[in-house]
Amino acid sequence: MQELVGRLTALDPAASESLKVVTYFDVLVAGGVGLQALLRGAAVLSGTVAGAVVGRRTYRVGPDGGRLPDGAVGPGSGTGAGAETGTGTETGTGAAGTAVVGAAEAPAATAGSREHRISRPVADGRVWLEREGSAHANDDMVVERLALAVDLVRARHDGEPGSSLATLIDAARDVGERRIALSRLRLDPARAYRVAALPASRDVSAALSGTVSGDASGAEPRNASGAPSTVVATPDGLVRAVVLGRDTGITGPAGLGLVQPADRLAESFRTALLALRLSSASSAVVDAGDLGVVLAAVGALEHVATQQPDVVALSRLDTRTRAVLDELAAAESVRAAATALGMHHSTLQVRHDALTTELGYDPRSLHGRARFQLARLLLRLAEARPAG
Amino acid sequence: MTETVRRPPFDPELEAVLTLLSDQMPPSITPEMIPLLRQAAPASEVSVDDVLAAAGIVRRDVTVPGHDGDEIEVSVLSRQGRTGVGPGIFHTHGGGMIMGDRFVGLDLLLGWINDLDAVVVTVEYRLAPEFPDPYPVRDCYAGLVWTAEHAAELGIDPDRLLIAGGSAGGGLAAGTALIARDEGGPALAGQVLIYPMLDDRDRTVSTTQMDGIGVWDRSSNITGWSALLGDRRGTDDVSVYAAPARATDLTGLPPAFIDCGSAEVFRDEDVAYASALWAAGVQAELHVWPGGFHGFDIMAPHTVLAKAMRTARDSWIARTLGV
Repeated sequence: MQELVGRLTALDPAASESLKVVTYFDVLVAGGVGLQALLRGAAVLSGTVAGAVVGRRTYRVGPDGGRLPDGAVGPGSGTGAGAETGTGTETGTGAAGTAVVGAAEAPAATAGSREHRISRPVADGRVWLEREGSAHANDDMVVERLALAVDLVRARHDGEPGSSLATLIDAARDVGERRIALSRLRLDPARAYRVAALPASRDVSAALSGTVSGDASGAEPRNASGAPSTVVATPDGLVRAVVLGRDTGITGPAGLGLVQPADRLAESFRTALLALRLSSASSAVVDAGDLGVVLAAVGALEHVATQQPDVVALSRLDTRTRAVLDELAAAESVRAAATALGMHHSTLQVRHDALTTELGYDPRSLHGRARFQLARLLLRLAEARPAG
Repeated sequence: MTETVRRPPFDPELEAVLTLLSDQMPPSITPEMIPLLRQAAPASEVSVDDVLAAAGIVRRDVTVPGHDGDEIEVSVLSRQGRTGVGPGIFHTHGGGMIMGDRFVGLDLLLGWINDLDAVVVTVEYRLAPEFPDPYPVRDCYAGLVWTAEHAAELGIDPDRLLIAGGSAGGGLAAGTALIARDEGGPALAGQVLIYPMLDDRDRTVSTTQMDGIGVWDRSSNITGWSALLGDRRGTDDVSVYAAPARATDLTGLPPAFIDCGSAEVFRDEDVAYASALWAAGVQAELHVWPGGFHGFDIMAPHTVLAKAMRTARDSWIARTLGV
């Protein structure tokens, strides 16, 4: 009943509620909504006006979900130049970070007001929140997820670069469609590439850290490196896919897929997703190519992972105990593990014995290591959700 | 593995809201939760008066005779400075027969008061299980009789008096309209049945589809009806005034507006009631909003579907009242 729950209202201005923001936009994107529903979501969650300029069209939506006039505050008639300048600048430098633009730089804003725009570029435009006074705790997150979602839903329309990339890495599309996508993306069908999977909010240019192969160019306006990139919805949330040359470097957190012929990049993306999910919470890069048969094994077992007693046993352990096990399984000796963990050697030995009893196997024995590593990776898959 | 139940998907915008609100909301309400749910309801007095003041609406509380002459309270709500005679709306609130007060759904009332210049009388009927059937519907009917008898003093044109309610209040509105017809009570210009709760028998397809999911699911509905009817729920010993879906004669009823979502328990009984009204020669307007969960217009008012629902409903009321 409605009185039990009230209604959806704006998020707490002072407390971060990132999970709610991510969830809200993920559900909208998965449901295939359009730009205006995304703006309504941003407006109701933030309790203020949300806007977008896409191509030549401006949309502004109030916190009650109602459409507002384009020109009142947004980049309308007299303000188009300002908005375009802002977009152009950010596109040129490839900066994808959130920009807070004061009223002075945004001629659209009411003169003398204390209104700020928290804005972010999207393909062929920009999205923003119009905020009186100082920004609320979730404003950056709302704008970030709004921008991602806008790019994603627009990429679904044919003809957009993101749509071609989504086709290229979709195993359900036939080879003819993928060849057309390659041509649109100006990728060489005779060459081999690999796909990297990144958390959706990561900035591609920063992730590529200047090591641009030059294999892929000009496909996405936002990305100065030239590597084609798009955000796709996966069963585990939104993920950014980037096409790389076979030797292109990237910084973590990221999953690198297997190197594949240009028309078989769906397999590269599939393995990149697995690799991303296997990367721990740290900023590691996991390369599917390094995992070999282990990758195939965890991929095949994923759907029964949570029913495996070895995985369940690890899931019950706290973070510190898991770290102890990781070190025990990886280190040359118990003594070396103790040093790495900052523990006394004999203390760790006692712990080692207790854990061997608890797990039912010794994670330092030959078989125990294999058993532990496989269970550990399956647990990561079961627990993984790409960080916003 | 459990068998998969086919059901219409939620509208994506509504599903996003449901996902965010679900941590505050159990999909299934069981009898032992009733006291807790009543406690959890916000103390309404202060906020209600603030809301009314902000909307420029005056509230007058009146004690009136309820069922068996017991005292119950109604609130008369009207635009500040309103004079003369105009439309009236008698409101029966929602809450599954077990919860809520006469200000549940206040947001809907504000528009009718300000945009249509209506006087709203909203009734504090007594709740089950402490006051089982027939208390709720008989309190509502007594409140309607009082409203009609005092129409002149309230500034209500007796030819332009509607009954309106949402959820359990929709069922009570339909039941009150049936009593008014059968007992020669006040003439009603229309009945606004907002996702009404009409059928205690738990035998529709929509109730099996919405089990453990959405808002006010099958278990919650059984909880509500059991509180109202006790052991009589689902038996032959239930009056049509308590469960209007059981009525076999709908002739002579006022024109009806019925709306609901396609993803709620009440969908099939609401559609069936509209069909039965048409069969009886009664005018009715029916809207089934695709992917809507129960009460989505209240919980997710910013969404495109909620706005469309409100617009369609208010349009019918304005046409019916001749505003």
